[in-house]
Amino acid sequence: MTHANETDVNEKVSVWAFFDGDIFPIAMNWNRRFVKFEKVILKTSHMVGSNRFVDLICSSQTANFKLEFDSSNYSWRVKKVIALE
Amino acid sequence: MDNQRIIIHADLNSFFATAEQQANPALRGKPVGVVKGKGRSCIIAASVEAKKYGVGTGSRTYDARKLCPNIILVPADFSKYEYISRKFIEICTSYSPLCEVFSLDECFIDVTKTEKFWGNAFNIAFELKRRLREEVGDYMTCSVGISHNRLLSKLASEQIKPDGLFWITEDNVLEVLDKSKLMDVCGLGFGLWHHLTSIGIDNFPKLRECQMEFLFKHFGPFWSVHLYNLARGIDETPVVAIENIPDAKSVGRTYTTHRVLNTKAEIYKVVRNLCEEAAEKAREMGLSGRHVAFFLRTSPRHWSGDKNDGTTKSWYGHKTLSRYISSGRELFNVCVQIAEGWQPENIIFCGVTLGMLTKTGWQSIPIFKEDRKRARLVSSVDVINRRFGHYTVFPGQLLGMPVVMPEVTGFFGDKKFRLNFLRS
Repeated sequence: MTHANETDVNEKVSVWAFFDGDIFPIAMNWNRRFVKFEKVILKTSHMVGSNRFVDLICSSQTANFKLEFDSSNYSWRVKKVIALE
Repeated sequence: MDNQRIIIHADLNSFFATAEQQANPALRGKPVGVVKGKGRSCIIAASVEAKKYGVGTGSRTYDARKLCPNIILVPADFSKYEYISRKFIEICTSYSPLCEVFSLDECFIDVTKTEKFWGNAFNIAFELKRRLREEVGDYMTCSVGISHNRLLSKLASEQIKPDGLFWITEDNVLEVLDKSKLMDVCGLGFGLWHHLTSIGIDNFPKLRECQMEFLFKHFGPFWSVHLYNLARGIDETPVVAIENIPDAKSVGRTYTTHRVLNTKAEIYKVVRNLCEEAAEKAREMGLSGRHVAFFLRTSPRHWSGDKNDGTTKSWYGHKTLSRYISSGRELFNVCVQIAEGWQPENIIFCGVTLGMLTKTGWQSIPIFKEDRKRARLVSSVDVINRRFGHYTVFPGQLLGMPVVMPEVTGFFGDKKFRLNFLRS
């Protein structure tokens, strides 16, 4: 169940991120599209067993994206695309 | 007065709904209702905009749509709320070691001895609001109340919503109390309110006029003093620091089902699930219990058949055991014993509680080989589930049903355990 302006995706993605005691996603390459992030709207995290997953909602010019960072293998997934309106 | 305490009460505004609006900017400024999931009919949080239409916590989605046809219902994301709650608590605890986590979204901070570091309590309140916006999200707001006791600081935070700041001093305390309804203050619930209104007391000025003898006659020794103090804004209860929180007295889990359960087999599947969670919670805290309570409740719509008069039927039973237990299987077996003879049908609500808790380490080691084997099995399953996630290994009885996962609750009954992250 998601809100009408949200689309569930759950796909692996390459993300350029800056780590400095925290995570700052800069851009991602998703479906051969380069998306540059402007701002992290919300950063939360959840645990699955002893694995920590960081959830980031990042805004771009075209849409907002919910990204998930798996801290056990440093992989990223796009979980949702959230339309701006 | 110099010897007066300064207590700050911080309360996140429409917490769950604002968190959703923070996560999805398209929802901002719109009426939003948070429901537990698809097919759920109870709104667990309403946004500030939805509250203007009369939609509140506990409203049914059907009623909410009648009151506000354009309400947007979004599913709850408890891990998100837990994370934001932790951040909020971390911010609050940075102003004084005397910080009491009252619920998921409320904290009392006794800044009597620390306010001088920030100049005054107002500066703390403004900084708290700023940090919440910067460290959690720019849409997150909280109402802050300041006063010389817990009761009044909580009342103060409710004066201006959202994003308010209010100080109740000795000069304006009676004025604020007189404007408030009886149930606006913390510590006066429905039972007391009902009793008070039945004897013609429906506001604070009337309550203040009552002599102590009159209150004693109607409410007994404890509540008469409580009401006498309440009417005058007197509250001496201390802010309980995280280090001084007492151990959990019981662990439990309640669950409202998606659909009515009619057979014992269906009910027992859900109960087994709840038993596993309650017992796992106890084990994680290193506790075992020997008092088991079990309750079931029917749906108001289904119990009275076509009449739908809103009445419910419930079953409740408890049992005190001679030995301590901490496994889901044992807890479930006791529940089955309690429910012997019950003929439950149309059940929508189940609950299990394990009480009279004590440290498992204080228990004697099982003598019999079979018991030791079971204890080893339970701890092995715990190790797997803590490594790979809840219910990676689960009892076969839960096969064929959607597993009810643990979720964060606002009550914070096991707060000592849940606030461990502040100590690390």
